[in-house]
Amino acid sequence: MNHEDIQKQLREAFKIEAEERIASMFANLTELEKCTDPDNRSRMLEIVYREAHSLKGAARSVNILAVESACQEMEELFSLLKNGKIDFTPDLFDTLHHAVGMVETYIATPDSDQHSIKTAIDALTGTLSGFKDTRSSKPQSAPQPMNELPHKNDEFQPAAPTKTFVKNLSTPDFIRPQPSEERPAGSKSNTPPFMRKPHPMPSNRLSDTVRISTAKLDALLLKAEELITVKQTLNQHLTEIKETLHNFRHWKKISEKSKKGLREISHLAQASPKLNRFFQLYDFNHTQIEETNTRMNDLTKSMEHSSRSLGAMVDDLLEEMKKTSLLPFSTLFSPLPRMIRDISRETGKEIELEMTGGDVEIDKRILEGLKDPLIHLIRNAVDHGIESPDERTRCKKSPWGTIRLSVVQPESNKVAIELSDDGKGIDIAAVKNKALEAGCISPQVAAGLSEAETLALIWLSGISTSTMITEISGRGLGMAIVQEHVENLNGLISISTAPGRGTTFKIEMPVSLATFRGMIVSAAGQEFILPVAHVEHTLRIRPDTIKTAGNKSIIPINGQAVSLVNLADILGLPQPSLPATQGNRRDNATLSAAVLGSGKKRIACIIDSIASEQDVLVKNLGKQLKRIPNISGATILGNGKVVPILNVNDIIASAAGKSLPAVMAEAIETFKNKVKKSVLIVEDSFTSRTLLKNILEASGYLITTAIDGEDGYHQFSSKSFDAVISDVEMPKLNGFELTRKIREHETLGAIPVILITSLDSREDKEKGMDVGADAYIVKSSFDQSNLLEVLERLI
Amino acid sequence: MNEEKQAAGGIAEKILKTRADQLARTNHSQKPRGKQITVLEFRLAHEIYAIELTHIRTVHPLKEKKPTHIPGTPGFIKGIINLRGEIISVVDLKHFFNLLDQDSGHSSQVIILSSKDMEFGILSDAIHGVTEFQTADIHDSLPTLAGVQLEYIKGVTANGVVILDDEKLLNDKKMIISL
Repeated sequence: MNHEDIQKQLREAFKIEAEERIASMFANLTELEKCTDPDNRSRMLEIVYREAHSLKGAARSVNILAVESACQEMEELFSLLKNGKIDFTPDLFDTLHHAVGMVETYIATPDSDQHSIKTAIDALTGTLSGFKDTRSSKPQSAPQPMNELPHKNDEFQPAAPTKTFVKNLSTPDFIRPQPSEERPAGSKSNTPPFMRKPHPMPSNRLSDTVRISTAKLDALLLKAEELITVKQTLNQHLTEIKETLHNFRHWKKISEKSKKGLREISHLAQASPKLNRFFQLYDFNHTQIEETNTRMNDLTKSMEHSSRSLGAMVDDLLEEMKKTSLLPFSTLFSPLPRMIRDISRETGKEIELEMTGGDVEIDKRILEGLKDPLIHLIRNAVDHGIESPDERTRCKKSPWGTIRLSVVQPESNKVAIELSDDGKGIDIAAVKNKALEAGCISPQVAAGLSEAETLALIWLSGISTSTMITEISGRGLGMAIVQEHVENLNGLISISTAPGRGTTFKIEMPVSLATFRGMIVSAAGQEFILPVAHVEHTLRIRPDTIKTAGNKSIIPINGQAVSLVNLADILGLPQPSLPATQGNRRDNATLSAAVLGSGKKRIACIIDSIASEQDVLVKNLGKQLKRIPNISGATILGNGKVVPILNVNDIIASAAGKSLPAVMAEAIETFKNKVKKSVLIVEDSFTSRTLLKNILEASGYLITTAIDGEDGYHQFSSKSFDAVISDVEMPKLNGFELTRKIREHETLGAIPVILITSLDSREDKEKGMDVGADAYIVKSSFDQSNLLEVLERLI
Repeated sequence: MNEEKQAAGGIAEKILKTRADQLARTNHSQKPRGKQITVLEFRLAHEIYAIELTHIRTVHPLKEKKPTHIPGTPGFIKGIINLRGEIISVVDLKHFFNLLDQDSGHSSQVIILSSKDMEFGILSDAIHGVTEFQTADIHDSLPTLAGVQLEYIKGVTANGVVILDDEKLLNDKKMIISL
């Protein structure tokens, strides 16, 4: 996206905003004029004042100077009115109305035709200014600018009355002869004809964009998202139908077998008509079964096909819908250089802003939510980070500071924003002192804080602002709010600083708000969803590795001590004993846990089990449940089940101070002596092998892997296993042959064998059974719980 | 969405409508005295309650799916249900009213109450149907009712049906859970 496009986009956005503000100003001005009650007056005055102020800011950001200065004047007038410095006069109202109308016309006019109006608006600005200067006295200049309107279209007169606003014009475009039909004939009326009339739009410009209210677009997006549930439900049904079909085939087989048996006694039928009828009926039945079987086969196939194409369509539709709500970062970037320039001028610093990644797209809602935090961080960087040129020279740095803002998309669904400055960095000791002063931490705590932990104090409200209050950043948001904003959008923010070398903020955001990858876990027998983005990894914990430090339980993860809590405990769910002892896997010698991370904080959370991972569509909890600790929303699974989504930030916060209760500690003791079941995985694909290994290890099995059938058989015969899980299609020795060989083994032949395959054909399934496999799982219908269930049943 | 609601709520509405029509007919013969209100009668524990139709969005059968419990919520929040793709929280009035007899597990229907700013379902053990009452027949209060309930009650009819105050329930701050 080039600069011009960005400008265009910005202007479009500005137009929409301006329209709203102008409408509000018109309405309130009219009311204000009629109103005599001082309370109402001041209320409405406040509204128009704020509207003028906001419009001014917006105009400045898109560099429409004429509007900006007109609004500036109006704002000042309103301010004087508010303070009672000047009085309401009809003239004043006329001029204000006129000015608002002029701004409206200006904005609605295509850029190429704006010169005429620009001049008019500048003239008005002068008039407005006149009111201000004359204060409560009747402004003699009031009608004058109106007169100016017409004659500036004939030729621009750089005469005294217009001089005041010439300075606002960046280009002397207006000196060019103006197209006369655009301008009103000379009129003494306070409302020139072109003010209220919409500017004639060139009719040949058919727009290739349409304005749709975000509410409509959002509703559409929600509808599209709802289709995910439909898709999942359909898949669920398909699985059920396949199961039925499977049972039906079994029935058919039985029928075939008994038919063979009946044939042997068919000669009896000739003797007895009744028996004959039975045989006829039986034949009829068998034919029906065969026909129905064929029909069901066909139906299942076509349903599979439909389900696949529907699924693809739903995914495509959702993808396209999501794109409609994606905007490039450049829309956020574009006002920044100006902002930096302004602030650096105010603070007397020299700053260079480097921005990269403006073409990375992100959900509009996220972009909007990021605006305030980012602006705050940039202001902070300028104000507190970058030193003055003198100081920089003293520190042997280049006199101008650099602020880098880079946006990258490391993963398709993730955006990483990095904002760094090369300033003086954050004085960690000062932060600690401020925190102590503010009473956020006790001296004892302060003494034990590491540098990183001290730096994290900056996120506490009341600290950052008080350390750094100045003209610029003091009025902004506190760092606490920055963090809250980011985390509310499911993002993560972290900070690092190096004294004398600068500060870096890293923000990670999802590209889209609506769906995310969720991991279905259970705690105290209830299912919950953990956002995968916050799950660093899952692991099995051997109870003997759990240490206690003070009243906290700690486990070492990659050499780092991470505090360990029980999810059920955090959620306040009743849990009499250890989670895993409640489940079926009584033989587990380990506990399932997920390492949750938010920013730099991480904890390990004990859970009952991990079921599967899937795309999750976030829904809010309805109008009644406004905010529930630890729960951020809910989702509806394919089978219609409602599952709450966990809020990891909350959980980490709740975890502070919680530890494993004594009852768990005891249970851990009794738990330590159990033995793990060992499973051999034979699979030629590296990915599948690793996946299986991870799933099973997470569920507490001891895993050995083999890369093909031959290797598998070798492993099998050299060690003792509790079960074998094998792929079917493999080089050297396939799954069927391996199973047959295992079954032929003298001593170990009775071991449970589970075949996992992508071949979903009846013949193969039967073949699998024939060679003696205990279970046959088709990969397409493969989900972890299925395999774990089968495995549990067999061992 | 609207079509969906209509389709699913259709059956319940149809039944309710027929009943309402029947009741309307019988009432026709009587002389109307004062204002008439149309209510949905339902059983909660051992009492018959009624609530005006004005704010009832639909009645949703619970079937085999129990509401999903949300940890950390007060006891009267039974959980959340899936109402045709929408999440709706469900309130157990037995709990909310501190009714001593709290034999749960028999709740069969959820009555969805809805206003502009609030929406939740209330559990009911059984739906009795739609009835009309003359406001004149509703007595202000019954001394035997527990104190906590009184503020949520519009009155009691001659045959002991407790008319709940739907507006009060929907606007009550205690109903909003923001922890």
